[in-house]
This record gives sequence, structure tokens and C-alpha cells, in this order.
Amino acid sequence: MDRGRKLEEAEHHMRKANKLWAPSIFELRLKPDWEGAAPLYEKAALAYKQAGDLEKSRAAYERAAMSQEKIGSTWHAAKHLETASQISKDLGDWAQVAEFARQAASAFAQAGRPTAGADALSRGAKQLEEASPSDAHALYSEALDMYEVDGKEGQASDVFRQAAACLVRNGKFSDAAALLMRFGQACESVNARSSQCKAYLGAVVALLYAGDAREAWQARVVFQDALAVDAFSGSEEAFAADALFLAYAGGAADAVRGVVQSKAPFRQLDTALGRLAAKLPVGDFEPQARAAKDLVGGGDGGGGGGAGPCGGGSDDELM
Amino acid sequence: MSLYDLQQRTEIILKKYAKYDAPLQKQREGKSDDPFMDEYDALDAQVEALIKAKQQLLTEGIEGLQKKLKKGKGVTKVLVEERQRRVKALIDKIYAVPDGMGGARRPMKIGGKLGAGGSPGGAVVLSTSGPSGLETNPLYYKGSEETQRFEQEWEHSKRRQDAQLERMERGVGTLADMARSMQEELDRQSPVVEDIDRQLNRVTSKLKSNNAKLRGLVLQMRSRRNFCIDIILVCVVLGIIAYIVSMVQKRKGQ
Repeated sequence: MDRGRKLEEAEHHMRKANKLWAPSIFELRLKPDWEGAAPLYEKAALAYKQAGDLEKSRAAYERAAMSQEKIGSTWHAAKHLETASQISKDLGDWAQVAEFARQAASAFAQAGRPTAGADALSRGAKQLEEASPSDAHALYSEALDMYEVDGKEGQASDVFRQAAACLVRNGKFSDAAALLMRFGQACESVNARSSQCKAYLGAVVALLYAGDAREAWQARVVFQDALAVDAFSGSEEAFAADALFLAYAGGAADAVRGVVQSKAPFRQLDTALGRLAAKLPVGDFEPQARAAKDLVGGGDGGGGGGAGPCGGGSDDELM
Repeated sequence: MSLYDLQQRTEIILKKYAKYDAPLQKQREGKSDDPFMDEYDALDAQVEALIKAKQQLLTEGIEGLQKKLKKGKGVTKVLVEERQRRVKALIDKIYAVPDGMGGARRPMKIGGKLGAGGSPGGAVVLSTSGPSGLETNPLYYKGSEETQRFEQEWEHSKRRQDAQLERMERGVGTLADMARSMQEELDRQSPVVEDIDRQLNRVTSKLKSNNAKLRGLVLQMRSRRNFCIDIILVCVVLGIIAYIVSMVQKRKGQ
């Protein structure tokens, strides 16, 4: 009964609002009355949602958003669009989730709140993680771009972490590593050393987990790039990564497991990456060990070796 | 009085007061009456005597020998050289004698002579040779049961403590990590909170000013309205009075 009443109420509001939208001669209205329609649409949408009719609720939210936009309150419009996006998720309409999320983000940006827009995108991406990971990843990238444009990527740590976890769960290790390196760079601006070091270590772990020699080589390259950053070189995480490489070069899988279990930084990584670290080494160990040995033995003799974890820059100067 | 008499009389006097005469030895004995010092002094005197004897041997004896080197029947050059060599060996022997045990080993000043007053005496020397050393006492290095048990207990508790310290280290490490994350989070959110604070302050002040304006407006309106109402009432009253006056006039006219 309550549901029936809600439905009636909703229909009633909807009809009124629709009437206000249409220009009429009786009421001497040439242009639609956006201001009057917006709250009515909102009430209708809420009532539909409570009644359980999600399709109509979404449609009502859409119209409410358009009305708000016409009156010029883009922020409210954006909020409505985001609600529409969430309802789409309940409906299982994944394409619409992404679409509404993007519309909400652009509305937020117009309203002068790009960070809120990026938040909306990341929320949409989170909804899409299980259903359509590629879309989720696209949304995450857009969110991170919006943060960067605003200069507030330092505040985007949560989004970075979620995006990295999503990528890792879907097996895209090099993408995840690239994202984590970007995260590390973003942390530089806010002096978030702990997150930065964990991000770099996570990148190394992700690449090593990929399980083939090329990725192991890439991991070493990534590690050396990371060492160029002052905050990382000399940190616990750098030592742990170095020990891990040495264990790989040593050629014993047990040594690798031993290093991961004994060193604290591996336990302090984010859950998804920590699980990866616990499962190391993965795949065909031999070529990885050989690659690591080449890099650790040969490459370190040259310039890379000078930049070891113990403040290698000064060593170079002395030499 | 003759010289002899003087001598005799001085001797008698000396004998009489001999008890007040304190020779060096007796003094030393009085200072620290311990048997160690007695023995030491006795040994010292002996050493001195030996040294004197050695010197005597060296000088007189050897000289005599040297003199007799070239004497004797049928002495050839070879014989003379041999005798010289023998004399040199004798000299060496004489030199070797008092020094006795040379550099490495020390004489055996151990044992019961220490007593209570060891400190003012000479150095306390423990040696593994001698009456209580390794050679005579094969149980020197044997640990007793108690010591073994003590050592085992020590090792066991040391291992236990190490294990617990490692657990603590892990826990403290986790705490440190959480603290660092919390710090980063707070660093991230504090400018946001400050921004909100500033905006709220601005909005509050705007509201206040708006309220004041509204209040002023309302007062103004009320007074204006009152004024209008007053005028209207006055007009109404005048109208009524005019009506009444006209009615009265009409009556009067009739």
C-alpha cells in the first residue's frame, strides 16, 4: 500500500513538472518554467526510487538535472547526474553508469569543482570494477587526469590505490607498475614519503610478479629510476627491493620467499600488492634469475651501481 | 783515662741502652707485622749477599785466573785460547746464576704468603704452573654441574628473550607504519578542513549581515505601515464624523 501511494505521489509530481516544462498559453508562459520544475522532478525521482521503480526514477533525475542546469545551478545538476549513475549501477546498465559519471564530472568541472568531478568519476569506476574492468580503468585514468589538471594529484592517493588494485586484480602488471610510478611522482608534491616509497616498491613487486624475464629486467630498470628520487634511496623499501633482486640473482626460489617474509616493507604494502609479494616467485624462475643476475652483476658495476641504496650520489662524487 | 777505658765504657753504655736501639729490620717489622714482609726482607738480604759474592768472584777470581792464563808448564797458544774460552764461559755462568729464570717465567711467589696484608706487599701473581696450576691440578678447567646448568639456563632465556624482542619489533614496525599513514592522511585533510572553515566563516558573516538588513527593513516597513494605517484610520474617522455631521444637519434642516 505504501508503495502504491508513493507511486501515485511520484506520478503526480511528474505530471506537474512536465506541465511546467511545456510552454502554455493559459498560464502565460512562453518558456518552460525550469525553476518550478526542478524541485518537483526531484521529489518525483525520490518517490519513484522509494517505490522501487528505478527506470522512472533515473529518468526523473535526468530531467531534474537538466532543469537545474538551465537555472544555472550546475552543482545540483551534477549531484543529480551522479545519483542517476548510481541507479544505473543498480539496474545493471554499465554503459550508462560510465556515461552518467562522465556527465556528472563535466558538470562539476563547470561548477568550478574539478576535484568533485574527479571524485564522481572514481566512484563510477569503483562501481564498474567487477563488471567492466577496462571501462573502470578508463574512468580511473580520467579521474587522475582531472586531479592533475587541478594540481591536486597529491590528494588522489585513494584513487591511485584503487586503480592500481583494479589493474593488479585483472592481471595488467606493467600498467599497474606505470600507474604506481605515477603515484610515486604525485606523492612528491605533498611530501608523502611513506606512500611514495610503498608505491615504488609496489611497482617493482608487480613487475616481478608478471613472471617473465623481460618484466624482471623492467623491474630492475624501474627500481633504478626510483632510486634517483632522494626520498626513496635510503629508505627501508629500497633496501627490501634490493635484497629481493639479490635473492633472485642468487637463483634460489626459497631465498626469494625468505626475503619477502623477513622484510617488513613487504607486509606493509597495500593488500593486493602484498598478496602478490607473498606469492613471489612466480612463473618460470630460471630466466628471471638469469636476467636478475645479469642486471645485478653487470649493470651495477657501471653507473647503476653507484646509485645503490646507501646514498650513491655522494659515492659518484667521491669517485 | 786511656783510650781503652773510653772504649770499654762506651760499650757498657751501649749495652745498657741497647733496648732503645731500633735497627731497620725491627722498625719494618713494627710497621707492618706480617710474615710476608719478613720473608721478603730475608730473601732480599740473601740476594744482596749473593750479588756481593758474584761480584767478588768476577773481580778477584777471574782476575786471578786471567793472571794464571799464561802460566803453567807447556803452555801453547792454542791452550791459551782454550783457557780464555773457558774463562769466558765461567763468566757467563756467573752472570747467569743470580738472574736465574730470566724473562719469561717469574719466581714462584704464590700461595700462603699472601695472607691478609697482600695489598701493601708485592704483586699478586696467578700462574698456571706451580702447586695449584694445570700440571698438578687436572681438574683446573672442569666445569661443575652447577656452572653447566647455569650456562644452559642463560642460553635458554637469552633465546626466549630474542624471540620476544623480535615479536615486539614486528609489532612496533606495524605501529610505525600505521602512524605514518595516519600522518599522511592528516596532512592531506588538514588543508581541506581549513578551507571549509574559511568558507563557513564567510558564509556566516554574510548571513549575519543579511539578517541585520532584513531586520532593518522589517522595522522600516512596519513603521511605514503603521503610518499608513494611522492615516487611513484618521480618514475613516473623519469620514464617519462628516457623515454624522451631515446626518445631524439633515435632521436639523427637516
